[in-house]
Amino acid sequence: MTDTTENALEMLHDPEALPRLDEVNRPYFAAAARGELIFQRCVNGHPFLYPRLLCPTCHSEELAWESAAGTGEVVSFAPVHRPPWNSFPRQDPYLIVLVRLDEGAQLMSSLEGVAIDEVAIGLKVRATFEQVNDELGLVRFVPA
Amino acid sequence: MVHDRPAIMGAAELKPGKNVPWSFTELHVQAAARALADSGLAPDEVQGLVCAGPMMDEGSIFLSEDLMDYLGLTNLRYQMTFQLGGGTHLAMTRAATHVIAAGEAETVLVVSAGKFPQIRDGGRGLMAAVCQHDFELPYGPSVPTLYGLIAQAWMHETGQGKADIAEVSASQDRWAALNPAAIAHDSPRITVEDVMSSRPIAGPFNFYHCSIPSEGGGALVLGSADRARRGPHRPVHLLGFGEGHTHGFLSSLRRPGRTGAALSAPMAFERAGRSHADIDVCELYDAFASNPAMILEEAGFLKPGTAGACYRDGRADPGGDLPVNTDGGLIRFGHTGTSSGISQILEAYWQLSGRAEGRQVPGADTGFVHSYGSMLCSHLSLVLEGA
Repeated sequence: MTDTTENALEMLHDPEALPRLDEVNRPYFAAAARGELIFQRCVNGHPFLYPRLLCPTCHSEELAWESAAGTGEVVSFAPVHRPPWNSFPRQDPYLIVLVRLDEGAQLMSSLEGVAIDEVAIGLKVRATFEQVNDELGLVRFVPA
Repeated sequence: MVHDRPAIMGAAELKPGKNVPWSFTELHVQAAARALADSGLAPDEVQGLVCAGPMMDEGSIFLSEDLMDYLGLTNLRYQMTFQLGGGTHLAMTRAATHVIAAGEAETVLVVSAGKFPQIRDGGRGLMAAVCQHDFELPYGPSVPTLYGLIAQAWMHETGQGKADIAEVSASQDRWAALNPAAIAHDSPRITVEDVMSSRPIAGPFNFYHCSIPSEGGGALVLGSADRARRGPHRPVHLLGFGEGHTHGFLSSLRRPGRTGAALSAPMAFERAGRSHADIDVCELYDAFASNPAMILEEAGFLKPGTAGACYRDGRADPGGDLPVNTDGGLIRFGHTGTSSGISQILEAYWQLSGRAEGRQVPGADTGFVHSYGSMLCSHLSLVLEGA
């Protein structure tokens, strides 16, 4: 195989299961399309993902986007041996992970570039990106 | 006086099966009619009706109205359709108990039936319903993946592994061997080794760590204590409920190794005026084998890290001192989709009314039931007692 990592990542998404872009989440997916991981923080300092109209901790509506370093750690993981639907494009087992970013926000993603028996809770990871189109990228992770 | 509290006075459970010829409504109708007959109630004596709404597209969103009409329940004073996933049925039972305790209805029919959702061709629709559409679904998690994220974190925190939770499936198989209604009753018996060598599905789960998709349902008839005492069976009183709600989407769970059972169980015990030592049987919602083990620890029956050993020592088995999932559980009795959460309440009722036949726990008076909605989100606990 001569594919670069970036090319391999293009093959991972299911066109029938992409995020639905809306006014709240559009900046997040556009950032991912250009290779940047961003999250929201409210005026009282609470970081969070997924993007919302208000902060889930204090309900402040004064929110700003912030750029994350892209590093974090695995909170938990689960290999998927049987994809959840027949037309899902990944055939070989893949890893679903919960990742807590160094800035505190948490998200679900996939972990690439590691054998499924080599992942562990606490593993340090960094973000990588699958560009679907100019408006939409998916944040994925690889070992840091 | 706890035995003045509302009680289950009769019940019925359909034997779970595959490809049954009945519609969603017809499954409900059969369960409901048999439970009313078991309780000695005529249709016009039913004053309340609660049911569980469809999770996907298997039935009408106006289900309670359809059933009221089909069953000719013309004297209803209370009617409601609920949806809280696997926790729905304890939520229904809780609401019915309060309506009766308030004197607003003397009898309430609690009914649910279901077909397991399609998990292959229909898997995308199922997952779109149970996970966050824009931030979880695109990565392709399955239901066992989401449970697996929680189980993996719990195993990490408590120092337990895949073999510990395999004990749960093997123990429940020994219960299913005693229950002719269990879908696995006539299957070859399974051991821990069989569980460990079955094919991997997701997370720490192999095939035999997972519940068996099936179709079925059941119904409970609740009455005031006075009304239940005039019925044909030993009343089983609903002593105390508790709830705990930790997350709506798995992504938001900050400490996935802990569950809401740690919140709901103490509430249920306090309201019931009972303690763990009083409990003769536990019926714990078990979509996957990790869950009864986690719940036993989180609800305070066992110290963290000891569930695997408890099962290995046979304490949860027939004849053990902590009988768990005495009908075989969803893993060996069968998981009936929308109605899966009524099975634990029904089994507690059979045990505590002395009607559990070949699997009867001798002298069982007091039971603990626990279930949860969606991906271990909404936890409900109940302490109930026959008297």
